Amino acid sequence: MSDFETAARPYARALFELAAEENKLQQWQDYLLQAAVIADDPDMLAMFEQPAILANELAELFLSVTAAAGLEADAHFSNLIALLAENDRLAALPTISLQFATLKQEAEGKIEVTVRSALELSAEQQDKIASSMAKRLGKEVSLTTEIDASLIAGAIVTAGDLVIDGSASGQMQKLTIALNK
Amino acid sequence: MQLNPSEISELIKDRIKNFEGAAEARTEGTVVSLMDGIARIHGLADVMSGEMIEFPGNTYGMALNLERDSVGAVILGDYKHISEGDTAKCTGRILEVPVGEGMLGRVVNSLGEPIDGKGPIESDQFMPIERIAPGVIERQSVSQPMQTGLKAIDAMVPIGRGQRELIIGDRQTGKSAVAIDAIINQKGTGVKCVYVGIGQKASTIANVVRKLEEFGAMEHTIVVAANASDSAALQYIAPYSGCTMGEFFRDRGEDALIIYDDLTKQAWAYRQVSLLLRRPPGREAYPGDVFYLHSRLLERSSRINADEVERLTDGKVKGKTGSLTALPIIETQGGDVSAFVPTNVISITDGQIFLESDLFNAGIRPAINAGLSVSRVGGAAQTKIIKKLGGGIRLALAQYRELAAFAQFASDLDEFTRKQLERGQRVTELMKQKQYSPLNVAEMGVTLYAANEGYLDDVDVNKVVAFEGALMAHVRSNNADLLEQINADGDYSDDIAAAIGKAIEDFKANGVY
Repeated sequence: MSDFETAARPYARALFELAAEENKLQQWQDYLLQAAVIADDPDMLAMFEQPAILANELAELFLSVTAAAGLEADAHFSNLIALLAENDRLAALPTISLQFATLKQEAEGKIEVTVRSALELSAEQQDKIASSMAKRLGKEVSLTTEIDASLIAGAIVTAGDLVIDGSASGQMQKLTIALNK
Repeated sequence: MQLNPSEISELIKDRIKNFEGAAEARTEGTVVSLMDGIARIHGLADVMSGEMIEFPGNTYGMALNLERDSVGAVILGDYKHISEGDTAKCTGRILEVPVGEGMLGRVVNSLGEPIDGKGPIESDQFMPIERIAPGVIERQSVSQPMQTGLKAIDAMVPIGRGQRELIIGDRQTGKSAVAIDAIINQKGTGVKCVYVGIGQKASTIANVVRKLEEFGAMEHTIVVAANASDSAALQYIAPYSGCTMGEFFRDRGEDALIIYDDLTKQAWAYRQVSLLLRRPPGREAYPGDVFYLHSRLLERSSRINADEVERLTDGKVKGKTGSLTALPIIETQGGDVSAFVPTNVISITDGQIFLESDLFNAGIRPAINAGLSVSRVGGAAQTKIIKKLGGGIRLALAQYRELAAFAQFASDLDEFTRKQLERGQRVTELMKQKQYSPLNVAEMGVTLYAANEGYLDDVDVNKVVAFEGALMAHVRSNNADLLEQINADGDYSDDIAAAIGKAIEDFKANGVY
């Protein structure tokens, strides 16, 4: 998971700068998302590791798949794929896509917040969480919600590495540790 | 049905009452890899170096390597229940251990948890294990003696309160024995002791504890044990934990003594942790910061002035200085003091007691090499009587050793040399002392007086030890008031000298040995 983190960083940063210069952030994010899905395919991953396939062949193959998937990309995109193929980093595409998204969010002052709750949240509750998180983090919040019955009650709010655990199951876990001390 | 000691209603009620149920906001990460007690964690964006990290199952770790995409942490204790993909949480705290009077008489591990089966420790105060040493302004120079009760040390290499004196020697030369005797001698003096055992057999620690109990020294002692079977991380932090427990007493204006037995093994444990964290190896495969490893630890042993004590105790303790004396132990291989760790620690400490296997095997115990052992600051802290009477001993012994080596081949020696040799032989005999039999200042004074004034010259060399034993018994029963007077302030005057002289003459006239 963090295997490609270091390798992906320069690519993500370079792409982000390029996209920002050309004002094509959203377009690039769409490209990368699709490419990431393709690159994450087990068959594709197996292909990346085939020593018999040359780098330029691999790039062509990958581009033909993306084209078949309906991705109409420009020359920059094919250059990126060719470069990644040459550097044997095609497998890092999902990580690059993720890092690109993070950079984009950061630049736009946005952050993705996930709320896992035991019961479905009302629109009012969601607004309340979103506004208090926006206040706390000083960023525009885009909220995603999940339902997780195993929490019993309450909710867990996740924003990047920050986790706010207000769930009943989390408290019970803490109580267990406190009692077993 | 068997109940745990923690299952008493009162305790459970207390815990539920004090349980904080509020939602907590913490930074989380994911365990990416786990091997040999080292966890690599992805995430933990705002972790601090040295911060405690919480793993599932109430296990803690310490963040040591903060890298670009991951955090390298050592797990303190067992890690079999942790697996890849588990979450690890920041705690925002530096590793802490309990401190206080309640720790005395207890055997604890590096985290301050009791391992002696005597129930929970009564202590509600915690202090971080890594603390900054007192600065120049807060310190006071060393001026009070820390009596070890061993003639050879107190006369030749005196140790002052707040000093760091290294005990160095090969295996089986009596390093720990010196340290244990020093602890036993603190009985009744108000000096609190901390014995930190690092990488030793659990049975060795059990023996030490039993001996301390036997001599009534456990009441003023805390034993911190990171046994050979404990993880390297625990062995690495043990000295810092012990030091924090000792500092508690120092900061309250009391005197404390800490033994690190031994720092060689701690350096090994740190080397293991460092190599597993993939820090680049240097000399003898130690990482680049072994010097700092020991210097930051030993620098915390110090004497602080009354103002600082007053400040630290919020004005509760006034006009008292606090001290933490350290006796670190280093084991050498084949007497080689020029290895990496020994040279480092020699240069950090304020002197060293050098123990030799040759002397040990020749029956000279404690096996102190008078020539190589020094104390750089202790002289200022000696009591007047020991300073006066023991002053010449170190030099005399060193000269005797040299002379004895020469005289081995000479058949006819002049009168002066022969006398010097004979005196040297007797002083060497006199410096022998049995384990677990520390002497107080007055007894030591009487012994040294006897040697200085030539009372031993007509005693057969083989009988010097017996002579001394009988002399001690004699003065203890016949001159108790004189001993008490000397012990009161360690003063030395012509009157006292005369009284000691009379006591010895009295013994030589009437005593049997």
